[in-house]
Amino acid sequence: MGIRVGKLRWKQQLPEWLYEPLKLRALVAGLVLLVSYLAIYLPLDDHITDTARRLAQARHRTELTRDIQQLRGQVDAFRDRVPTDSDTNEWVQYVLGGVRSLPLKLLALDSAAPQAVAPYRAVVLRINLEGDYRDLDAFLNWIESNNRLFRIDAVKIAPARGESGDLEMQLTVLGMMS
Amino acid sequence: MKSLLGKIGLPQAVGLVIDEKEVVGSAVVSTPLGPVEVARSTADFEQQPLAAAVDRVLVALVGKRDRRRVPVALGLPARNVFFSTRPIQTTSTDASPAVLLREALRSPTISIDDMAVDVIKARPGRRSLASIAACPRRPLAELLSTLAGCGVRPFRVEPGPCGLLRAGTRQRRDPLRGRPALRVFLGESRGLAILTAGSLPLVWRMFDLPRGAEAAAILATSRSLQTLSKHCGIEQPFRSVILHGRADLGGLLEFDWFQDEVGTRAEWLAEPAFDRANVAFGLAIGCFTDSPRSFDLARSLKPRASLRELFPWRELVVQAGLVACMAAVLVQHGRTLDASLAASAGQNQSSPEFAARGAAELETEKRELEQRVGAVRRFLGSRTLWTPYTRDLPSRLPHNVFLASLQGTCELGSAGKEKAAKPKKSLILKAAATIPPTGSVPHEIDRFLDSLREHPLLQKDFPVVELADLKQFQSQRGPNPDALFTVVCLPRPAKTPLTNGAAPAQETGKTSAP
Repeated sequence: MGIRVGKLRWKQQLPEWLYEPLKLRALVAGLVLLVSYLAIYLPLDDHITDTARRLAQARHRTELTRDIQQLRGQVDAFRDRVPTDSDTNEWVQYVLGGVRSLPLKLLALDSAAPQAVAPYRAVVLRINLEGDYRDLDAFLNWIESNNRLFRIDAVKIAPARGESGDLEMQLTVLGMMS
Repeated sequence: MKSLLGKIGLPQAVGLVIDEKEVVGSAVVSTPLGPVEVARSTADFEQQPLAAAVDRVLVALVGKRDRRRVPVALGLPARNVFFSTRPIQTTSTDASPAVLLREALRSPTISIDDMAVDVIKARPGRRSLASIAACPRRPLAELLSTLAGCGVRPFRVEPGPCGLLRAGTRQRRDPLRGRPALRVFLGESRGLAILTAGSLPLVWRMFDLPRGAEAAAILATSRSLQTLSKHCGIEQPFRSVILHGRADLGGLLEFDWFQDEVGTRAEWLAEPAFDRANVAFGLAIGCFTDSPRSFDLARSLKPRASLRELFPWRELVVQAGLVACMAAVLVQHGRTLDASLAASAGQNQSSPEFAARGAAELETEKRELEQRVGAVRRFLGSRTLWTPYTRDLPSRLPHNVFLASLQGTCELGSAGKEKAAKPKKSLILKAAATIPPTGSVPHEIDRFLDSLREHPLLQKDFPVVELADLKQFQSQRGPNPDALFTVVCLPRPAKTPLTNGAAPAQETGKTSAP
């Protein structure tokens, strides 16, 4: 009953209320605000938010594509230098070929367990050579300028035992393979 | 400039004062810098009807355009208006204007129903006050009828002093913020003193200004109003006096004496003087504000304005313009995003290989490729090339120094293991120098160390060059013994923060004098 009376009073008072300029202006401003929010802002904001999200995804994909192309180029640059179907024995033979190309005396050549260089592996070879300084230096140069990816983790050059006057070189060599 | 302001579409209003003999009008436009009077006009109606005089003034002020579009405020002379302010009793707070007027007049001979009344209720101090303005209803109705015949429906009808007070308030705002103050408007031969509380007039009085006795007249009127103010419900005396107009009297009046007599501070402004044109100007600027503290004696006589007339079309247009601007900005922003999205999507579709694959698949490939490149970069980037050392170091050996051995270490560290042991990296050189017959340490050792420290390759890979040990032994190369020494070359130590009280680690070399 109280609510009904309130509704009736509200209906009677509304026209009078509208004749008060300040209240009429407030009502008009409120209606304009409401209409602009519901009819303009909400749909446009939804569209902008959705487009912005899709644009961010598209830009991320573009960036991803560009990064992959750049990385592929870098991998292609060293792809031929990392043998795929290779093992320790094949590496030993390859290094022996290098030793044979120089007048050096191979004192020892043994291998250790391959070292992980994820996602690749590195074969570990320990080499003892004897020869004069120039030939030992030439072998070092052969390793360091090789097409395959080598690195020398340890090198020691010292006079060889005996009276030959030669030098002995001990090497720990790592070669990268996939 | 004034005619230009009147033509560029700024809001315009007109104030009209209709006296016994003449009509005075003022046209004002509202600019962002405040109202500006653009025209004044006067016409007497002794020789012509009032309607003709009003029409003539309006033509001079606003031309022959639709006069209903321009709000016109009408001012009545003070002598034609009953005006009083009285305190409101608690029992009559909601009393109608007619009841308040009856209580103020206390006259059984006056018919209240024949009066047009308007009341402004205010509370400038502790007490609620009612300012009552009234005038005979019939003459006012005739006046409104005449104006209606001229195409004018007055925006407001108020006592002329209210317009003058508004013009004065525009010159100098209320310095006491609502507390009682006295404004005195001076004309050629008469003056008008208004006791105010802010913009609300409480009581006014017109007075003569006899030549040579102006100060005494003003003083007498101010004291009279001071006395009347108590009947109006104002208990405190006014604290400020502002004189308007008649700047020529500044030299005649002894202002200091006047202030002493009034007993409060006084201020003298050149404008507005007490004349009808200034009243009309004040009435006109009142049309730009719908202040509740303004009288409208025609309130009960005017037909009720329709909602269409009351509707704030201008505000609606402004608000719609703002909304349109906001919509335009949002639409433009959306279009820019759409264009960027189309360009980016087109770029992505340009490569069929990538277009067919999902983002997760691409992420996986990128991660794998990064691992491969990173592994090779770490493998090659952290290595030391020894050939430059084996070729260059022997050439730097001084005369009389022999290289006995070279030992280099540069281990490959483990990726991603922060706490793993740091990979070893060093270069150890063992050399021998023949000790001279004097037995002193060979200077060649120092020269060799200096040359190593200046070696560009060593500065890059092993900048820390230290002499580790020095031993004497008898060689088979000659009669003199040799000094066998070891040089350790290390990379620059990583910067580690010092703990409290801990000394930095020092590398100590083991030397033995020959």
